[in-house]
Amino acid sequence: MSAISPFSSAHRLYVKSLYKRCLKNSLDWTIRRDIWRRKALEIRAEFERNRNVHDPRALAVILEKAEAELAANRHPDPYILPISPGGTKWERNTPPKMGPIFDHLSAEHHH
Amino acid sequence: MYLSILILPFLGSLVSGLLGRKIGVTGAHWLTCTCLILASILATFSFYEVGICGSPVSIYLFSWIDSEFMSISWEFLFDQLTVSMFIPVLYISSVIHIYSIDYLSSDPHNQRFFSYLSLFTFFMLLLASGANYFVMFVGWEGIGIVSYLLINFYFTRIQSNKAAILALTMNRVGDMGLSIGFFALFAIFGSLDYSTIFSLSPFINETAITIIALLIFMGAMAKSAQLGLHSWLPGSMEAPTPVSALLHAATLVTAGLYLLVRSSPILEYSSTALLVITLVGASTAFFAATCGLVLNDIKRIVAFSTISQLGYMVMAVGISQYNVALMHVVNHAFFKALLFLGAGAIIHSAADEQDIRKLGGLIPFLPFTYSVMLVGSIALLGLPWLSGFYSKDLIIELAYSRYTFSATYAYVLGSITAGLTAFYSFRLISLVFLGLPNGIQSTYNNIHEANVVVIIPLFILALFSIFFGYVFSDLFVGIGSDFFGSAIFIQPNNISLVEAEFSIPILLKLLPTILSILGGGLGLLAYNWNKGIQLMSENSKFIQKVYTFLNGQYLFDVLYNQFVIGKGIHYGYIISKVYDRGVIEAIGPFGLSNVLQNTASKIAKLDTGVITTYSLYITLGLLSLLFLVFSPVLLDTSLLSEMRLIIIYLSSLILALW
Repeated sequence: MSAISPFSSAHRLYVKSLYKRCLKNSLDWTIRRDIWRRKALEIRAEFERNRNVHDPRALAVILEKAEAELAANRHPDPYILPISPGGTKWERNTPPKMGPIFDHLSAEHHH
Repeated sequence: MYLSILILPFLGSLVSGLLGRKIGVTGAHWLTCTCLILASILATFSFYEVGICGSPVSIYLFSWIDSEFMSISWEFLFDQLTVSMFIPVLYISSVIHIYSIDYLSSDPHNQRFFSYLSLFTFFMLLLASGANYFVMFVGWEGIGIVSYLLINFYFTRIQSNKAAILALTMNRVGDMGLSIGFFALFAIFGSLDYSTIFSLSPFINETAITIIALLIFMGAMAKSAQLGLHSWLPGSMEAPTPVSALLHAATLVTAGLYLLVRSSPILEYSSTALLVITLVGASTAFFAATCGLVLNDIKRIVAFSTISQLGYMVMAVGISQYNVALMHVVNHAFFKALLFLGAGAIIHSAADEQDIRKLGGLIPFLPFTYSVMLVGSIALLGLPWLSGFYSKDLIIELAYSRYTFSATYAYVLGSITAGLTAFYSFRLISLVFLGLPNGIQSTYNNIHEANVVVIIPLFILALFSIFFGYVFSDLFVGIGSDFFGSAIFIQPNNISLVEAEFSIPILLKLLPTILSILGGGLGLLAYNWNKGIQLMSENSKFIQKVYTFLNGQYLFDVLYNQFVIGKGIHYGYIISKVYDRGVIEAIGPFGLSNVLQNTASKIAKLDTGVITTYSLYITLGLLSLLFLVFSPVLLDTSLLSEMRLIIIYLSSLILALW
């Protein structure tokens, strides 16, 4: 992500996404929120510690390290909301398309 | 009366499926439920007449196939084994029909769903009541197809499609073995009737019996989700929960067990097959229990618990205790259906949330569901005096009392599995009902106990889970009980019930129960009181690796995808494209056009554009020409021919070099 300059909106979004992914992954492992709280604070502290790093190269190294750590700790069976893609209710009873019936006879033949 | 038990669900299915538009949703509900309840009542009468009064019924309808030696008829046999299977199948199917009225109320295609459910019940009854392997196989294939349709009920979901195809193809592997087994049976016995085969089996060569027994076991392995052919069962949790309760807990998966128990007169004459069955069963029980420890989807946990319990049943067959295996089939059907339906009730009340990590603290919201889930769980653990105790603990004791290596292996794994079972059951209870809410607030705002249509089935199943073992254990597995009569054959050498009852040290008898209590306590401790244990999974790399391995089901799917599926498709393609075409095709039009095409493409390859290659062609052409010119001389066998031959060779050599 070194191409994104620090404190651009894209960078902010990326860091926020990384933070959220770290939190969610950690909660997937720990399950109970009261026990997880401490871990969440640790993750927050880790992000806060690098809050004032402005050097793009140093930032890239830090973010790469965080990504690698997240990948190494990744939960094999992450929580997915039932109605999200991959969830247990995803695509269930998708309503059929209710548009007008396609008229094959009057449509032009395409070659 | 006996044929009505079969016909009623079939008629319900036909009308609900084909006339669904006429009778409407409510009509389909009423019709199928009535048919099933009537059939259940009749099945109760048949249990009394055949089972308790001891008068098996055989019904011959008409001849089906009559070709040379092969004579197969539509014949039904209602003996003690059949009616014992009828009871769980019909009772559970009836309560599941009733339960589905509420569960499927918000889904479209109710008529189709109820039609499938009833059709499934019909095929299961057909399977259990056929008097020869062929009629049984019709039921066997029928439940295979209907299970495909039911798993694929939400046909717009890709995952459902995949799960259904997986279930069908996995079962096909077993069916292949089973079909070859039938060929072998027919080749050796000249018949597929139970009566003929079972009365002749003592006189048949043991190797032949072993091969047949192993092939039959292959079919049972796929249907009953034993290790290696198990992966379709967790996948099939894509189906609506009542389907999981009916098919993947109570009935479909017990078809394999029924086949093994029915074939007891064959299996008993092959110690090798029994050894294999014991080892596979015990390994399956242990494998599935370890996987169940770390899963998070509530239905998948119960599914793996099912595989584990099926392992116990197969283990019981392996140690020749068919009546105990059947007792566990029936007990398990009741408490597993209860667990599945309870899970369905939770899922429905919690806005279709299936992940136990996002539930928690549900006791005040769902007190009744909690009670029945607890009943189901402790019946599953086999805590004393609940139904699981009378069959599961007995299986483990019987394993010890055989004093053979394989049976001891089964005893050790069975005991450990009992502890693991308790752990994952109480993990589920802890995460779903105890502790603090972990889910989304809006879910908790709307949580409520299900309505009476769901409560009644759960209540009935809970009663059965508590009392069935206590009431029926002496009938099914009591010492000296002749309930099964000639339906089950156990070789006198293999009877170990007396040993198990009187000669095992009390500590070894109680070991599974002690391990269950320990496992259950640990489950409660780890997920309720001790915070360190929960944090461990995130902080320790080793635990994460083990977790990933177990969560991935020992990476069986990866192995299959990497090494089996691709090669299988490749060889399957070759077989269907080359071997299956037959001689007429191979030398007929397809073969001819194929040869012409191949030859043409090979000749075209000669045109390389390389000068040296062309010079080689010219040389070869020259040599051929020389050969043609001089062939009368070469092939002449007179005296002067050798002299002439040398001259020709020399001249051609000079010509070629030049």
